[in-house]
Amino acid sequence: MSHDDDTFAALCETLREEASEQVERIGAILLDLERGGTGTRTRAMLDEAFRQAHNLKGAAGSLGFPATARLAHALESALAELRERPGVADPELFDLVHRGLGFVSGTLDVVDGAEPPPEVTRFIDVLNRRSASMRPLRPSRHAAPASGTVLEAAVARSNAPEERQRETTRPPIRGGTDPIGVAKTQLHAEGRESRAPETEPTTGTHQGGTREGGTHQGGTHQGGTHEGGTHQGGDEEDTPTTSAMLELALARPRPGRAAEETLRVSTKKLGALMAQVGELLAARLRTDQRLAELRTILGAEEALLERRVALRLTLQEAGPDLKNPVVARMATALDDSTTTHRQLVRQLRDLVRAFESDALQSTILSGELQEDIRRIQTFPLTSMLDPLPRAVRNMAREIGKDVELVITGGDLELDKKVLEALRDPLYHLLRNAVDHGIEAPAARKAAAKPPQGKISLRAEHRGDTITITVEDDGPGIDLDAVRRRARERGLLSERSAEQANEQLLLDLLFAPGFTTKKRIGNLSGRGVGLDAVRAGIEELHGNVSVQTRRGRGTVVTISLPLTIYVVHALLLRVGTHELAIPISSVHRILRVRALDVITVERSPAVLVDGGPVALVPLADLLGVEGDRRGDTDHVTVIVVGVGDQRCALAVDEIVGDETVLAKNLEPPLVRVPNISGATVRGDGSVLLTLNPIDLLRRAALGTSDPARWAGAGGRERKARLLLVDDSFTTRALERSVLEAAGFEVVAVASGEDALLELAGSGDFDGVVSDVAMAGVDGFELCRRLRSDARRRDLPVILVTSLGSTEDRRRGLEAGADAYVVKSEFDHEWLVAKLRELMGRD
Amino acid sequence: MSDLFTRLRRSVATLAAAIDESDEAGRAPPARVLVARTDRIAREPERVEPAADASACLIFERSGRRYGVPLSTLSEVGALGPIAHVPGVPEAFLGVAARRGRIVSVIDLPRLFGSQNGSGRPGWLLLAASRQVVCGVCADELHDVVEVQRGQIARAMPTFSALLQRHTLGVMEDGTVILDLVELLEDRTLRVEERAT
Repeated sequence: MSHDDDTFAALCETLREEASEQVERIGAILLDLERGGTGTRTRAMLDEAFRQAHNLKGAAGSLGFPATARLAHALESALAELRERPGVADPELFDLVHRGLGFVSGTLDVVDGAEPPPEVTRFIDVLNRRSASMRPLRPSRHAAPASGTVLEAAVARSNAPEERQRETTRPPIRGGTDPIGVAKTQLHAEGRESRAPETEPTTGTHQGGTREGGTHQGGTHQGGTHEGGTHQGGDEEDTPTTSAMLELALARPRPGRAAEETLRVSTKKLGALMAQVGELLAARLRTDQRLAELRTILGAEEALLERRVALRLTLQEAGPDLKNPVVARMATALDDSTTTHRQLVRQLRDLVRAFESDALQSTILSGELQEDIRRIQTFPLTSMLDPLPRAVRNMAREIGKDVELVITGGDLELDKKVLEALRDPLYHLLRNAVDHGIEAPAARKAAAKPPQGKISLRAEHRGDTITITVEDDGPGIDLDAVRRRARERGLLSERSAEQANEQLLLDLLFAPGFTTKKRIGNLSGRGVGLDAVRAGIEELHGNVSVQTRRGRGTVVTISLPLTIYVVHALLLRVGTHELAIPISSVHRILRVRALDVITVERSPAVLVDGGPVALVPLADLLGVEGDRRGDTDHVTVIVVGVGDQRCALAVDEIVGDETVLAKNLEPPLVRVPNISGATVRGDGSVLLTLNPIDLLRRAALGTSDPARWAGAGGRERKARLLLVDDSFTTRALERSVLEAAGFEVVAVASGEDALLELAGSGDFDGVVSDVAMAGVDGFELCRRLRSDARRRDLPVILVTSLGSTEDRRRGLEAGADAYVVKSEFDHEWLVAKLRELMGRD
Repeated sequence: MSDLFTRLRRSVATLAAAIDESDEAGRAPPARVLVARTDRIAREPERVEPAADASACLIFERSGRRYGVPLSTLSEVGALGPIAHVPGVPEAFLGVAARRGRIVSVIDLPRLFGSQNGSGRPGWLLLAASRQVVCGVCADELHDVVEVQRGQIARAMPTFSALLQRHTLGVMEDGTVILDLVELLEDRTLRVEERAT
């Protein structure tokens, strides 16, 4: 069996496992509904059942199980009809769907090219007719193609980690003692019988060695008789007897499965176990501290013993004085106590040795335990990627292209959660690459390229970071089209669009809903792909970027911090904050003279290996107060790098290095900028771990001031802005623009919160506010500011999508200094206007 | 318990019968008094069922403000250990602390509800855990556990911040605000999931 065959067999087995779960899930939902589900819950349950059938259809279709796909499609249609009338009880349709579920497993033995059992074919027809009869004169909203989108299906199916978790060896799929195989043969036999009207009706139960004995006599069921039983044939629909027998056969556990020593454990329980191991490690660290204290005591006792011995020698040297009874008694007493002391020291030394040995043993065991649990939670990337080459091929064929997906680095092991979260982003990227990236055959021929397009998916491991690149050999991204589209959508003004560089234009591809495609196709064009990719990757504390070469292709690079539980970290201090950063991301540690800080294009930098690297105070990136008392003549710098990006971060002190156990922060701290997690130290305190990818991204915005390095202090206070917008995306966008321009920004999500901020510390230099917000809107906020004597002159700019003359008039009447319509939004104008209003231009 | 009362009643009845007999013998008054007293003691006390809307709440104080939370929403109450300040999160997050191997947020309720007045380092952590969050609120002092009937306490005041209004179960006479802690900590507006740029 070739590697491909092995892989395909494994995929088929995965499909069977998943199909079994899907059947169980749909069945459970139907049972629940029959017991009387109501209202929106019914709808949600039917949605879920529909989704399961849909996924089954897609997965079966893509792996070449047409009978299963057709059956799943029929089930999907029936479920859609049930969904259309959730309040209407239809026991007959429920029965049919239940019976259909019973056929699913058997159809998975019917591979592409083979005929499905006639019972199944007839059943599908019956179910389709029944569903159609319920469908009055209205267009079907669920008319999905029977094959589904193959990549979508494959990706939905490739829940690899779960599959690996319940990994089990199986008996051969066909033949042997497999009851599915038996059932299949029976189906065939029954099908033939059903075409024989002369068959005599009997009780219809199978008996004898064929099923119970576990040996299947293939081909013996011919004509109208079975050994030990025959059944009714010749009906248009399969009879309940046949169906019941089939379901019975399919419901029986497969041999071997029950005997396997596997156990499915929820990730929550594993997570809890890992947390306990973390506690164990923290306890181990505390043990080390106790051991160190014990060693100190032993050292002190040994020193004391030495002094006693020295004292006794001094007495010895006294010579004749020893004849003095008092001195002699003292010498004896000293001898006795020294002997006792020596014994105590010896015992203490033995105790310390035993303690050290136990501690070492405990370290090894807890380390192994931790590693074992970590391994349980990690899986090779290939477990998720394996189905993709075939799926990409099929998907490309659907749109008349020939594309090959080549994967390298699939053996990298990743945390299960990371793998699962990567699935959708990779799916989007591949879909985009097939649809947008690779040209049609004619275009490739014209460009003198081989007819088969190539997509390379490459995974690499660098330190604590994993890089995944998806590269196609297509025509590259049409930057002019991006520029045009950005202008049309109001994302860039005419001037900004003209001036936008390649990186900015490529970044726009990640804007929500952005697409250059005019036509929405089956695969892409809705503009949800890259935005979803970025959101998904950022959830994982990662970063995604695009590079393109005209005529030669596009490369999308994903950088992710590896979920490694034990991290060797550099400990550093900024102000009063002690923080950790993975040492694998630290390229250099330097101590440079303030005078050696150079300025490149108004950006401070230090020379590292003969080249300038941007210098940014870590305190500024984190928004915390740095140490102002320290050495102002020198700067302690760590050079942080991920991939090709490097940045020098100024810190107050390097504290040391430590191996730490990384943990995630818990919700509601879902995604904190610059922080990837935390660790618990031996004394129970918490040490935050910095996220180098975030730090580099933030540093790229350029927040540093060259004047700062000429000497301590003397820095002008940053202008402080209050940013009010109820849209997270707009808030994040405007915040990044304003912070990059050197403003300190406090962002809030409502007018009420803005008033609270103003009533609090209140020392703002300006307000940038949205208009349409629930509660206190932008107009009202403006009016309240103007009615407050202290805020009357505070510059206020309203940024809104309300662009009518009436809205503009209302804004200005409310007291706004400027009114910007979002479709005309120009970052540079906003920054310039703010500076002008604040008198800082 | 009811068996005990039944046995006691039975004993009282036997005693009463015996006294009745002895009454006939002319020794009634003092014994009757004893029986009446015993009967009173033996009477099963009237059971006071808690009202359907009642719940036991832990009352605590932070920065001079009193809050109460149903005990059923708390997973743990204990002394607050070291906290690490987290840069880049709202001020209402005092920081994070280690709790049973997990890193949990510590929230300062008065700041969350808009107060700018700081207070000293809190001494207590009240931890709430639900399927979505494991998070704690801090307290300077723990006061008492009281039975609170929601029907008998005032509703949230319109001057409360929107967040506070959403999750106030009621306000007691002494100004203690009873909160639905789990709902509050699961509120979407509390989630910090900002991108770095």
